[in-house]
Amino acid sequence: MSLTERDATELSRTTLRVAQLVLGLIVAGLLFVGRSEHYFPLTGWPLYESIRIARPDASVNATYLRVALGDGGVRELLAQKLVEYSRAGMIQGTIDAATARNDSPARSAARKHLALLISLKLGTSDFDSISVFQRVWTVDLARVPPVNIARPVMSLPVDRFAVPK
Amino acid sequence: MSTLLARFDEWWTRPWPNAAGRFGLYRIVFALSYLWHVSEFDLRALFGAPPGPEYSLPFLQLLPTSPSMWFLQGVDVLLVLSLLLLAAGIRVPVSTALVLVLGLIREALLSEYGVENGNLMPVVFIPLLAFVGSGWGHSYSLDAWRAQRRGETPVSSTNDSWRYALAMRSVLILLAVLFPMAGLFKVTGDGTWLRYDDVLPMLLLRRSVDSVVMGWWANPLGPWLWAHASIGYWMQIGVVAFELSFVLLLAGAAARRILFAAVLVFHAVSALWVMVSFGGMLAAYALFVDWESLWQPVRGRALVDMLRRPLLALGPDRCLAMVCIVAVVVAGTWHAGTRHAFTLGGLINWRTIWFVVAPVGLGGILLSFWRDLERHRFAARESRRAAIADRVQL
Repeated sequence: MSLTERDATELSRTTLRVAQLVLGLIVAGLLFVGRSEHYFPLTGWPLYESIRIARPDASVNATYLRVALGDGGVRELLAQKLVEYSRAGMIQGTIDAATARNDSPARSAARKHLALLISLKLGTSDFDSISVFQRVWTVDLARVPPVNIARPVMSLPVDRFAVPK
Repeated sequence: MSTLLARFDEWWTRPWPNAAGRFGLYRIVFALSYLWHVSEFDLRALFGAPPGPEYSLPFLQLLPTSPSMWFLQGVDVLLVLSLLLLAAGIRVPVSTALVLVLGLIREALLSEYGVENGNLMPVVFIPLLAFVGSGWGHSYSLDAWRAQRRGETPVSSTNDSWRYALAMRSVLILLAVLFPMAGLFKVTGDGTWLRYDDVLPMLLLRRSVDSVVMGWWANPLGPWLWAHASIGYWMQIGVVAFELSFVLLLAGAAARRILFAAVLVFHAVSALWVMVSFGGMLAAYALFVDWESLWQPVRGRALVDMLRRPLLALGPDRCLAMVCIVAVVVAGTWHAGTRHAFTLGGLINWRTIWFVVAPVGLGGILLSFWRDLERHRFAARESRRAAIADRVQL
């Protein structure tokens, strides 16, 4: 069955109205939710709008993982690089829980998760232990680069544990 | 009131050059760029993760609280499969709906660890508007080829009907709403951008330090910013004014081109020095590229013809079967390593993509301005010649 020209025009008009209606609802929704991200997937763009950042400190630190591989080798990974940068926020939660002082199911689950992230990054699950440590550098904002990455002022061990099976 | 509505309808129903072809080709660009986006994050990384800061999002309550590995892997694989079918133009309305639903589930799961506002454009708004507006499967698709074989009249890729421009116009309105909203939020309510004069310099300095720690480049303007932090007030006003100016997207093609050129530079600088990507927005900007005009000079080339001939010999049904097999293989091996092909082994990431897109996009926009200028000059020359000829005749 083929459409007549009039049918096609009517159909196009209906499509236009539906598209306008959907767009109108999206725009109304965006205006309604404003800054809130609570109503995902309808969110306006509250991008850095209320930030207040202090001048960077005199030192900066980063968490590293030293992974002992099954073949005897050792790999060192910057924790923040385990996942894509914009999602790196999830890493700190996992590391904090995995290095908690008290033995709990949450700590054991976080260690498993950390091992999973490492295995996805390295493409292998053949590693025995994970050492978590922090490197600290001094910051000199008058220089480019402000941090001499090759010269950390100290390296602090945080925790070391066997890979949970 | 009726005049206003008539004007509103006139804006929506104005022809858009090459609308059918560019929207059809855009579908392919959209699907491929989405595949790149999906390849950036392996959803399996969420398995067993501790709850994120946004765990109470109402939308997340619709999804499993601790998704199994099978669920996470399944979402990624099915989304990749749907995107490949969409790129090839197979059952376009169904594949669009699948891309919308699966993409939304994926983005919601990730949003537990922070909502990425820019991603909502390709994940929710564009597929939804394309689904409602339809027509992006009417050209450059296996669906269209099969319909043609059944005797249906094919849609010309140079068809400029407004029907194929509904999604473009809708996204234009969305950008004209979202960007100014971002600007307004910065200066009203809790907004800090006019209250303090060092918001942007401190952010840039902080990100310069972070960047070096991540093994990337430092901001070469760091020492200058450190010494002249008060300049930040003017930089902040500049960013806010730039975001507010996006209402001008609705003012015409020339304003649109200038704003898109500026936004490409803005994103590239943000990716380089603020470590903010907004890579999802590429899908929105790509809607305004005339892919049809870019494709026309290429389609007649011997190499393209050589590649096309075997597909034409196979016919649409066999091609469909072949594409389905390839799609299943790619989706099935996605986590085994195929996904790395879409980032060229990690070379094209959230940051580097802007260093490719920004110069190419800027070049294209400048070229289009130059062509317009040439066209105007030619028209002026012709009208002068005609005037002289008229005078000579008199």
